[in-house]
Amino acid sequence: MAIDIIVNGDASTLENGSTLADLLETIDLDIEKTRGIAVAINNEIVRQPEWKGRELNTGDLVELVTARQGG
Amino acid sequence: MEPVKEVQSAIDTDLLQPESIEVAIESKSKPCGDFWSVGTIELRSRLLLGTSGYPNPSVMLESLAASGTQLVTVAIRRIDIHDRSDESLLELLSRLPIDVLPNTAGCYTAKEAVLVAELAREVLETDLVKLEVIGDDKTLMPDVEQLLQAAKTLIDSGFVVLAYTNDDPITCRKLADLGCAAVMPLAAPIGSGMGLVNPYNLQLIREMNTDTPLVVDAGIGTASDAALAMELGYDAVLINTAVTKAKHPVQMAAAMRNAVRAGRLAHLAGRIPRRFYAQASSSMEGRVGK
Repeated sequence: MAIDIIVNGDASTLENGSTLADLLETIDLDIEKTRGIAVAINNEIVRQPEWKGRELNTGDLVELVTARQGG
Repeated sequence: MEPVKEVQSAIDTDLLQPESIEVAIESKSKPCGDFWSVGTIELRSRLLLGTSGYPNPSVMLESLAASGTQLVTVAIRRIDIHDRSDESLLELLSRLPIDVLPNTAGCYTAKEAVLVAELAREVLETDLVKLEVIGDDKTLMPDVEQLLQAAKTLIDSGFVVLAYTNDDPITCRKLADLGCAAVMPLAAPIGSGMGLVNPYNLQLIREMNTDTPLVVDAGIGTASDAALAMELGYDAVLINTAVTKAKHPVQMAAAMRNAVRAGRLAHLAGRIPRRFYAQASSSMEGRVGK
């Protein structure tokens, strides 16, 4: 069984029981060392210490953001 | 005319150098230095710069350095999960002695702006936020109702809010009363380069808000616009497009640095009142043939 989520607007499928940390690993983000990244799931902030334990569910809207050039 | 007691520093050519202007400001008006603050951050530079639209990262860094800025804005955007090669902005900015001010650009509701501010706090580990809540695509004018609502929520959550707003004196006063760390009325629409289209409102806003730092944000086109904003008594100006889209961004950044200093110095020096009729500067006494 798999879970279907939306990551930054794109559909993504992960194995059942996957955590936010698992998702981040698929895009080569080192969850221990990475800085300058923030995550929201269903419009709620998920802080870095919670990434490892946060399970994902079908229908979750995940936003992964960083700082870009801006005015 | 009184005898000249000593050589005035005003005729010292060193005064033409930017650093000497700072020294002049410090020695003539405020012995402790001409600083201003946003929240707990104390700043000497009164020029805030955006980071968007430079031709390349190297010109960005050179321009920021030439401007002397100590606070620059960034946007919060989605990571490109397929190509993460372009995530070096914070690393680049860390090479300069500057603080980073995240914005909520692109938000159209208070709810969106609050979420982006919360994300920004996680990304940058700062409580600072430049709050923008836009009401219209074409003009990028702020939505005042949503702006006030977002400002209140964020301030209640411990954010240090610098609110980008329109040049309405009442809105500015409301934002100041809410406890914004700085209120930032626009000179003209974002990126328009039209300069101070309503200096009378900007002056009113200054008169009505003496305790809150005020920053002219958006619409600056060239150095004289920045100088005028400072002459009106604003604490600082925030500029992006006028520098990044100039033919020579690094030179324009330096021009803005000097304009902001000149405007600040002129404000402290006190301009003469405007008169409708002429007033001879040379004495009428002793004219030839009279």
